[in-house]
This record gives sequence, C-alpha cells and structure tokens, in this order.
Amino acid sequence: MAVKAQISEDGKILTISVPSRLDITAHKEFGEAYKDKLGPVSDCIVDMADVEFLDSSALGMLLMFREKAAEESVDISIANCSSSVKKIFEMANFDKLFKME
Amino acid sequence: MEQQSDDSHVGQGVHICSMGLKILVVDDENMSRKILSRGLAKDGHTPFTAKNGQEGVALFERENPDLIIMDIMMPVMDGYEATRIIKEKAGESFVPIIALTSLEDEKGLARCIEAGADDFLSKPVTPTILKAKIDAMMRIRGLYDAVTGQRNERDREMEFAEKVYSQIVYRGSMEETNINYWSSPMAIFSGDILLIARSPAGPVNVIMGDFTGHGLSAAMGAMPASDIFYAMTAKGYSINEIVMELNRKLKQLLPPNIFLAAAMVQLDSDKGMATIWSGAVPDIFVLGKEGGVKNRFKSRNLPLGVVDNELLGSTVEVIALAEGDRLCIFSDGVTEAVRADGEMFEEERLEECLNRYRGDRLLEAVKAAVDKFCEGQSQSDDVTMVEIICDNKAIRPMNVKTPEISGKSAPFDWGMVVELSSGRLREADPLPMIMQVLMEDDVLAQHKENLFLVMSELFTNALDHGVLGMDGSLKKTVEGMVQYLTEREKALASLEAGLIKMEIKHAMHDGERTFVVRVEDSGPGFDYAEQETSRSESSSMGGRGIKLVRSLCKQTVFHGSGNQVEATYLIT
Repeated sequence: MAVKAQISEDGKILTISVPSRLDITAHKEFGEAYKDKLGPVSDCIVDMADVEFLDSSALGMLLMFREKAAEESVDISIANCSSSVKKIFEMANFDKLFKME
Repeated sequence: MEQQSDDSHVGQGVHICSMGLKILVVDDENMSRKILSRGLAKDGHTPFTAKNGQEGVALFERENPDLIIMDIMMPVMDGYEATRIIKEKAGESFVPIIALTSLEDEKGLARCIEAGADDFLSKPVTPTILKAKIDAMMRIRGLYDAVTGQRNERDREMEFAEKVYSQIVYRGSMEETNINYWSSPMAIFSGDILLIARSPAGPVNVIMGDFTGHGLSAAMGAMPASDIFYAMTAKGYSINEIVMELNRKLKQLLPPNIFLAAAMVQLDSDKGMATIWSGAVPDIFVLGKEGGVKNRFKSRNLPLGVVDNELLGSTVEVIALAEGDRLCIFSDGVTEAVRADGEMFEEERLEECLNRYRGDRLLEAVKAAVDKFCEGQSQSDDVTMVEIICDNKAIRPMNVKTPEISGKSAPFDWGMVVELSSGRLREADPLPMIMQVLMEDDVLAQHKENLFLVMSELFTNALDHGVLGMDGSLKKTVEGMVQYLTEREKALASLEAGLIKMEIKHAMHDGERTFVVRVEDSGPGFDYAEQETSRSESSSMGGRGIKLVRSLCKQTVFHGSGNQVEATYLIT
C-alpha cells in the first residue's frame, strides 16, 4: 500500500491518504506527496483511516509536514483516526499541534 | 602448485580474483566428475570431488572450497538437500553453489534456486560457459565481501563511539541507592537516555528521555541534553527551568522531525514530595510501599524540541509521597512491546502487573511480564524503566564533577551585594545565578552544598515570610506543603512591591577565613528574640530552616525588626 494524494475539484484541498505500514519508503512517499503541491492549496487533510499505529518517527514525519505546510500557509487537519491512533496523539499531546477531526 | 592471482577491477574498487580457486565438484557420474575436474585444473583451479551429497557436505566442512558445483540427481543424498545443508553451515559467509542439472523443466531449475543454489548449469557443460559462470560468481562474492567489510568496520567504529558517548552522557550519580533502573538498547546506541543527578540542596533530579527513532542519529541529541541537565541541576535550577532550557536547545539543534519525549522528576525525600514534568511518555505510576498502584499521571506536555518555549506551556505535577512510595517511569518501548500477532503490551497490562507485584524487585517483574507477553519476538525499540523510591534514609554519594572547568582561585577578600526588587523576585529564583559566580572560586566550590543550603534557606525565609508574608505552619504536614506551594505561587505572581538585599563577604577575619551572608528583606520582621528563647519549631518542614543554618554556621544573628539576618560560615 502506498501513499495517495488527491486534489479537490476546486484545487483548494489536498487530501493525503496514509498507508497502514509507515516504513522508510512510506516516509519518503509522504514527502513526495505534498512536495511542490502546497502552493496553490489552502487546506490539507491527512487521512489516517488505514493507520493502526504510529511510532515516534511517524510523528516526526508529521511534524516535518506541519513545518512545510506552515511555510505555505496551508492548514492541516488529521482525519479518520482510529481510537488507538488518537491515544497516541493524545499521549504526545500532539492534539495541541494538529487539528483533529 | 603456485597460485596466481588475477585481480580484475569491477567499478568501485571491488577486486575479483578468479584464478586458483578451490572448487568442489559433487556428482554421482564418474565421467562428469573427471571432465569437470580436468577442465577446472586446466584453468588453473584446484578441483576436488565427491560422489554424492553426503560426501559433498563432509568435504565442504573439511576443505572450505571457494565455489561448489553441485549435481542434483544423486543417490544417498541429492543436490537439493546437500545445498540446503551447506548453505546453512556456511551461515554469514558466501559460498556460491552452481547447480548442475540435466533437467529442462522450469520447475526443476527453480527448485535448485529455492534450495539455495545461486545459479544453474545445464549438462553437458561447455568450458566457456563454465568459466563465465565462475567469473560471475566471483564478482558477486567480491561485492559481498566489500559490504561485509564495511559493516564490520562500521560496527567497530560504533562500539568505540559508544564508549566515548557513555563517558560523556553518563557522568551523573547513577548509583543512587533509592533509584533502580533497567535499560536495554535496541542497537549499539540507544535513543533512550536516563540521567540522575543531585541538586545542591539535597533533592535528586531524574530525567528519562526517548529521542525519535533509535541508533546513532537519535543518540546525538543526548550529548547537549546531558550537559544542560547536569549543569543546571548542580546549580539548583528547578525542573521547569531545566525543561525550558532543554526545549530551547533541542529545538535549535535538532531537525524538525526529531524530538525528545521525556519525563523529569525532582524527588525531595526529606520533604516527602516530588515534582513531575512529562511530555509524550507513557503514564507515570506511583506505588505504595507495600505494593499496589496509588496514582497515575498522564503526560500533559508536548515533547521537547518541537515548539518554541512560549508555546511549550509547561505543566508540572507536585505530589506528596509517603516514605517508601515509589514513582515508576517507563519509555514507550515497554508499552509498545509487540508480539507476533501485532498486539501490544499497553498501559493496562503494565498497570495490572504493577498492581499485583509485592516485593522489592519490581522492575524485574515488569521485564519478565513483557518478555512473557512477547513470546520470543525480538525487541523492536529501546526499553527503559526507572523506579524512584522516596527514602529519606538513602545514603548520599559523593558529589559529581560538573562539566565546567574551574579556573584560577580568586582572591578571597571580596564582597558582593545583590538587590532584588519585586519584578526580579517574580521572575525566577536568583540563587543559581549567584551560585554560579561563587563557584568560580575553587575553595568556595568545595563548600558548594553547605553554602547553597545557607543562602537558599536565608533567601527563602526572606522571600516567603518577609516579603510574601506566608504562614509557615502549613508546611508541617505533607499535604499542607502542597497547599503552601500553590498559595506561594499565587502570592509571588501578584507581588507588587518588595525588596531583598543579599550581601556576601568572603574574607579573613581574626585569622579565620569566613563567608558571611547578610540578608535583609522589606517585610515587617518577626519577634526573633521570642523564637530563640522558646526554641520553637523552625519554619521549614523536616526540622530544617534556621536550625540548619545555625548548625552549619559559626554564628547566625538576627537584627533590626527580624527582617535582617547575618550568618557567618567558616571556610576550613
């Protein structure tokens, strides 16, 4: 399973779907998914529907993304988290950093 | 027979040697063995033969060939089985096996590779093809050897680096009698750190941290972090101040995707209380002396190195502890330990294990529980566990050296006056800063603990009772202490007017070397004459306070309305 990126019809929203296994390749693909695409969009939704677990490197990956998005004034929201993924966000207090839906 | 070595280069400095190889030929057909051996000898190699798989395995073990040509259909033991066994015995080293087969069906050829063969040759074998296959195999072995060599060298470098790293990072007092810990890194470098150090006034600081990822890149952040922790603890800074500085430094140094999840605890066993800061680590558990979980604290803060200090918004917990209570901290390597079906150990199982255990080998019990749960699954993350016991009878070890290098011995006839108005008093504890100046003097540095105690006690008295007007009687009980601190915090935050003046003189006086501290506050004072004659309880918990100052100093005298005090400490 790979990272998938999709732009909405009006070109304003970028949705990135995160695969269940977040290994080194997935981290690279995630970076590619938003690279050069953040300029024209205003919002980005990170879809975690397939994700069961996040380790600290995955959290780090999201932090990197957060910084890049801030540079381009893009708002990020994290969507469709399972209860276990939500718990991980809460333990790290990352729900203070990201908008959770 | 003299062996020539023909070194041909294959790009990137990989040498291949295709001459004078020791080649084992395993074939049940006599003719086949003879022809192959002759051909190989003509090419300058040293062939030897076996007539079935079993003999082949035995010869492999005895002679250690560079390459094996293995027939498939043989009695006693066929080529598939012999290949499997030899590959297993070879282990990490690469012994190429070329399967000899007269089979033309694809499945048969594929089976050779599955059994472990690296290539195959169809009978009848022509000399040109044979030589080409051997050359190709040797090229691959060259690459394999290069990679293995690099890996071995890297491992050696890492082991050396780890020794240096340990010396730098683990300079604190890891041998405290009331602190148990267990850590298991996943690789040579651990991304987890566990540091322990004593504050000059007595409390002990512990930090358990977990850098993103693991290995060398994770461990890099540990060096500046440990410097900050040890230096600031030695100067008596608070948990909050140390956290802020760590956050600032790590945010500056580390890339955006690397952060430090951490728990920091300051345990004051004498006062029976602990201050806890935690960010992005599993819950911290408090257990009673007899066993069982008394309390559980969630991480309330972001990990360190992610956001600027203004946004970090530190929340600390101040808790009361009875003698024998323990605080248990775990890195997420424990709660996220995973077994074969993907299920994780989780906090619930951890709490259950902690609740059930009775005895004084708590961490061993937790480790055993995790190992049992994982059922042999290999460790996938660094693991760290700490047990901090509230024990005011714990022996205090010798003080550890701080990272700075002490300079020259300053002349001892000098004085210093520090005036602190309400604005500065509201900000932060000024004592660490003052201590820093004093510690420049080698001689004074030897009396660091005592001087800090005396100055800290006099200053705290002046601030709490003189300027803030706090009532010391609250501090007599453990719960009262927590309430006292909360009220003090409020009073300090809303302080409008107030002044504390500290005068320090380090000089010779009547043939004795003295360190005189004089503290004056803008408060109303108190009836010190009455206190001295009635020998009433001192104002701090645990019998400390002015009594302690008196015990350390040659003399301690109150002046004015009780808002001035002068203590004379002898430097011997």
